[in-house]
Amino acid sequence: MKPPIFDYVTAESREHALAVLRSHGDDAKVLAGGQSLVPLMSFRLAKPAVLLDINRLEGLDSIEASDGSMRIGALTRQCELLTHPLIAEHCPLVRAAAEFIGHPAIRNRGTVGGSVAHADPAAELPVLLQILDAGIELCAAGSQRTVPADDFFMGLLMTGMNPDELLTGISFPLPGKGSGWGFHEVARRHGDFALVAAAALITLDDRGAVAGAAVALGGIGDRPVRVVAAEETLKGNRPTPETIQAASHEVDGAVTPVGDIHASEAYRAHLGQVLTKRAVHDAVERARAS
Amino acid sequence: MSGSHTEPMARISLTLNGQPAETEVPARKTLLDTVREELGQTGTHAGCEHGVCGCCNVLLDGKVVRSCLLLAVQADGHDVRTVESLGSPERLGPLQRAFADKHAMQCGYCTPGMIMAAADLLAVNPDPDEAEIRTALSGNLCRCTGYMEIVDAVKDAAGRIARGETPVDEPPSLSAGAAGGPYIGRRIPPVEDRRFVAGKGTYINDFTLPDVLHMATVRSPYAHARILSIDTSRAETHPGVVAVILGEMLPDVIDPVPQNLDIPDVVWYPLALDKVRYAGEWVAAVVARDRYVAEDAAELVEVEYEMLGPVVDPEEAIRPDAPVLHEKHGSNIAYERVLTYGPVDETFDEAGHVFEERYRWNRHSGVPLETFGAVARWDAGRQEMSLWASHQTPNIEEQLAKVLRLPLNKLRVHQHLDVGGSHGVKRGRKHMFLTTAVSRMLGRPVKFIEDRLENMSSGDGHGPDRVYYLRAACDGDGRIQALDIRCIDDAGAYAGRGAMQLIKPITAIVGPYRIPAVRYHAISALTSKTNQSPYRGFGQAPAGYVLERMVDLIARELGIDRAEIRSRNFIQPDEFPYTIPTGAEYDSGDYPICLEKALAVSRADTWEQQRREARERGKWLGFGLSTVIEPGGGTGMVFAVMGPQMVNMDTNMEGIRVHVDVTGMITVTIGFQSCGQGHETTTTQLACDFFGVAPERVRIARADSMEGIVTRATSGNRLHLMLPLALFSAGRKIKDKMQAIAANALEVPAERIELAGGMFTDREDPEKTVSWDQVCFYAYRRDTLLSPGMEPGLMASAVAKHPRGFVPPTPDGRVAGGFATYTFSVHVPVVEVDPETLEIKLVDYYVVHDCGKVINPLMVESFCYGGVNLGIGGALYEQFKYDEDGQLLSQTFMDYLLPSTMEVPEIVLEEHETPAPGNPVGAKAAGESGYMPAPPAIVSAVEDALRHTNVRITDTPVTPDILFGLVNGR
Repeated sequence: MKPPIFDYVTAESREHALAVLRSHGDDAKVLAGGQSLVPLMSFRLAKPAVLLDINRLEGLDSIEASDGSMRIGALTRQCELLTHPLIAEHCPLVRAAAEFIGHPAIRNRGTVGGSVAHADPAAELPVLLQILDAGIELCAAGSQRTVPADDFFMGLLMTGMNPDELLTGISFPLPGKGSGWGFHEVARRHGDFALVAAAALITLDDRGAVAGAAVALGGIGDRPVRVVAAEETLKGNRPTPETIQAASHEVDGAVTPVGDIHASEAYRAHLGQVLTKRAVHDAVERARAS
Repeated sequence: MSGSHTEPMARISLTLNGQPAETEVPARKTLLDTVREELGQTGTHAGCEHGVCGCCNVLLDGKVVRSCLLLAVQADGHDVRTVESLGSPERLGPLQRAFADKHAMQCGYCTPGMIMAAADLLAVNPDPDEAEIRTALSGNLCRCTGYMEIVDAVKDAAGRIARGETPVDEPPSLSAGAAGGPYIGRRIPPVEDRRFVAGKGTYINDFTLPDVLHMATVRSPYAHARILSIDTSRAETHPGVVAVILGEMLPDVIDPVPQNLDIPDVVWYPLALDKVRYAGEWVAAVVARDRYVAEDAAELVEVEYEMLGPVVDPEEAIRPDAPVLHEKHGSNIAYERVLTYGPVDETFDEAGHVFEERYRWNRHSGVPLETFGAVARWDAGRQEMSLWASHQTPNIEEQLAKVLRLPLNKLRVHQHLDVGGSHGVKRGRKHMFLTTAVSRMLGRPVKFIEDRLENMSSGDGHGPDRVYYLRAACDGDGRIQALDIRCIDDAGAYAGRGAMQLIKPITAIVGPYRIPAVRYHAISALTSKTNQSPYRGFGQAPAGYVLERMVDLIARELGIDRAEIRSRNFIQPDEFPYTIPTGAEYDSGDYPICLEKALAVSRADTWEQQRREARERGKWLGFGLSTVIEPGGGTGMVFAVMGPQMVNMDTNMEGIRVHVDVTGMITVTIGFQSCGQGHETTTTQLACDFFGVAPERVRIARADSMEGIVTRATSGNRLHLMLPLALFSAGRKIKDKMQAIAANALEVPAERIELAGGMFTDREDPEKTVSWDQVCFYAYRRDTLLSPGMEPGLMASAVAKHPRGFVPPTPDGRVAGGFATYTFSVHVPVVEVDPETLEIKLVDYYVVHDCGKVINPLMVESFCYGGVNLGIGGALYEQFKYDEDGQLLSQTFMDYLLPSTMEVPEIVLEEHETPAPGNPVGAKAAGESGYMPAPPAIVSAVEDALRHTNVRITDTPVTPDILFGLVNGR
């Protein structure tokens, strides 16, 4: 299992990287942490003619928080999410979800941008981006745009990125006062991709009713999805166990579960409900405590 | 279009283990391959090459990363550290020393990567707790240990580092761990571990020859198809390619792979001839200057197929209308026999209760982290073949001689490699035949290291795969009176070792129970899958599984406690030797006391209370129980029931050579290589006690197949029975001679001489002594001190006979004797099931184990823990799953799930020693009884956790998804 031949290009600068992408288009692949791409090449499922290594680019690995929003550079290693003080302070949800990503050796090398661009529906970060209403920053030669997460993830390993675009970072509004989060995942083994992962972000108003709700599921279908019907069930209501249960039942109509050798469609659908309930429950508890 | 044919190169300079290193490498070459092949640091190992197993961990700028997922060019200008940076065998660093002292390994293959993960952890967290250690190491898989030893080692290392321990000079010797004898029975850290922790093991991929070529296979994408044409032109002209070998070239140069059954029309060559019979079957082999190029060219071989119907399910395979894999053979049945022992039908007719169930034991296996590998060199000048391979195949040289059509004395199979795990499956017969044949065809040395895909899809390394229909007759008290077993085993596309594994269970078919009548209907089915290899227990594990499941079923139906029903059926301690209906004789044991100990250590009196407490925190707790026999010390004669072609041996001998040299040092030569069993250590322990010498004096050497050491290799759990017999026999000859020489020197009768503390002393006049070293010197240099007719020198060989006499089976299949020893163990796992997600978590694990006299507890415990690790895999995680088209869905470590530190709990082990009567040290087999009892015990525990649901679990593995289906009646 050895990678096939490719032309290796080290990106010297952002402009250089974008120029390479523009001239090679689909034939080029961006190499960041390589934790998904290199195995695919070794299996010979991916055979890029040009491998564009962006690891030496500067300024792409910062984590910043300002004006109520957070920006994480694409080359930020996943291990940073576990230890970075800004994340611990402003968005512990990210830390909690990142603990489910693989193992230390994977997180030390794997990048935030790589995980998002790879768009594995069972990966943790894409689910997070969904409930955080994150924007994905895409850069091309002479242009730049930010795509909402819900538009970005289009299907199994499919995104709204153009071949000449480089993912440079993600940004999202920080959850405000009165909000709480929940994240639950079932995987076959510790560190495996999720069979189903559920994330919830709940904001309560002064009366204890749900003012804002975001619920998303990963692993269950071909892409991470927002469960809007569950959110609608919660909004404006007091989050009693019955309401939360009712919200979790909305998963059924909202997603199309997939089956594979690790979990059937029916089991994934079931997990979707159970984990939604648990994530919302935790989010409500944390919101109440905030 | 996958890039140009010219290989883009990159010049890199990095700091490797503190030293500047520079090299030019292909841009696509991984850091793993580069540090090993270009920079000479072979301690970093390839396990999966897709980032799952952790064997290749290195530190990049101080942080642990997978070197298989990093290109060497990416390390340009960076700091890379491998296990070699931490210390050498003579000067181990604290982490390495802790791993060696705790015996936190067996084969040592995963160890360097594990140590680097631990180094990363301790650098940021100098005092981690158990949970932190387990989390940090969860991305490093080990197949030999139960991880506990590793967790302990990391804790120990943290202490050593905190105390400021630095590397100290110390020779890699057994004495480092144990001063002064006796040595048998002691917890002595294996001497092998010292090279493993330093990254200095010598595995097949570390071995190379000048001018060696590398091989990769072209594999069939279809499960069953006719090969219409193969176009190799593009592959052959690919730069760097030396040859493309096809199946049609093989019959001229080699014989088919031998199959142990009388099935001449099932013809098996390492490469497919006219048909492919499973997805993954090797159609061609590409030989090139390196493996990268060989894989490039393998993609250029164009094969045209005509699709035929796949044969996937073993029960469908044996139906008359099934597509036939081997047309000339006429059916997909490789072997079938009905063996009836005792009045089965009569007993069922008169029985108070009859219970029946269908069970499915799905395909899983040892899946060692080192894949199979071989290096062959044909020496045209001498017309001699040399082979090095990571194998444990008994008498492979005889098979090679037959297949290669060479005289046996023109074949040299080297036996000095460290084998990176096996658990039975490292056989690789077709790999070895192919590699040697290709070397001879090309006149060049050839190296073939399976990659993980070749290993999983087509390496013939799968374990048993069975459907059982089981009926049991019993009385109202749950006393089992008869068993009626029908078993269909899915052997794979050729007979392989499947049918033999199907027959072995007759040596212990009634488990530890007094069951007077048994019918065993065994069918070996040929299907579109890769072949079986022997796997830990050689087919015994599923037989134990279904019996234990049936005992649980009877207990439940009759309302009898699971421990109680076992007690009622146990063979009692005063009944040994005990002959079971098949004719196999159990040597010894005390089953009731082991069960009693297991219930005590697992606090069975608190189970109900624990269940209630678990319910209060929203979990279902379940306790499992299994009581399982491990036959050890194989006898070939058992397989004679399979037909006259198998009645070819009535012994299963093992040879050894002992050489005491002129300086008094002892070299014990064994004829096989080890896969983590620590034979260098146990053999040293035996030699030290026999001769009364210190371990510094003893070295274990390994003879190649031309050096005349008779061996049957590590199979059937036999070496710790056979080695003492052989060693003591050869040692006796030397000791007698030394005594005679000492007597001559002291001028007293030889019978008055005794050897103690390194001195030969006259028993009647203790003043008269002569030292061991002096006698050794005399033996080689003083003819005048030798007795008349005595040859100079101190060299003796012995070939130990198997302690059981072998008698051919009766025509109706009754065997005489069976295996040499019968080990017994009781497993009590405790599982917690989440009522909503149905996740299954093992929270505790208790084992009581009786393998007779323990030679080295540290090693026996590790066999047991590691066995439980594999048993957890088989019970809950591991399956070679095929779809209906015969495609293997779990051929990567992303889909074939090996348990990690987070899935294997702490195991509490209690040893009980019932010495084996047939063995000079009283040892029994110890390699399988961690594994075999685990699946039935774990499934029993899961069923117990769900007992309010009345769910019956019959199949392995049981997963949350399957539980979900069962609970919801799907």
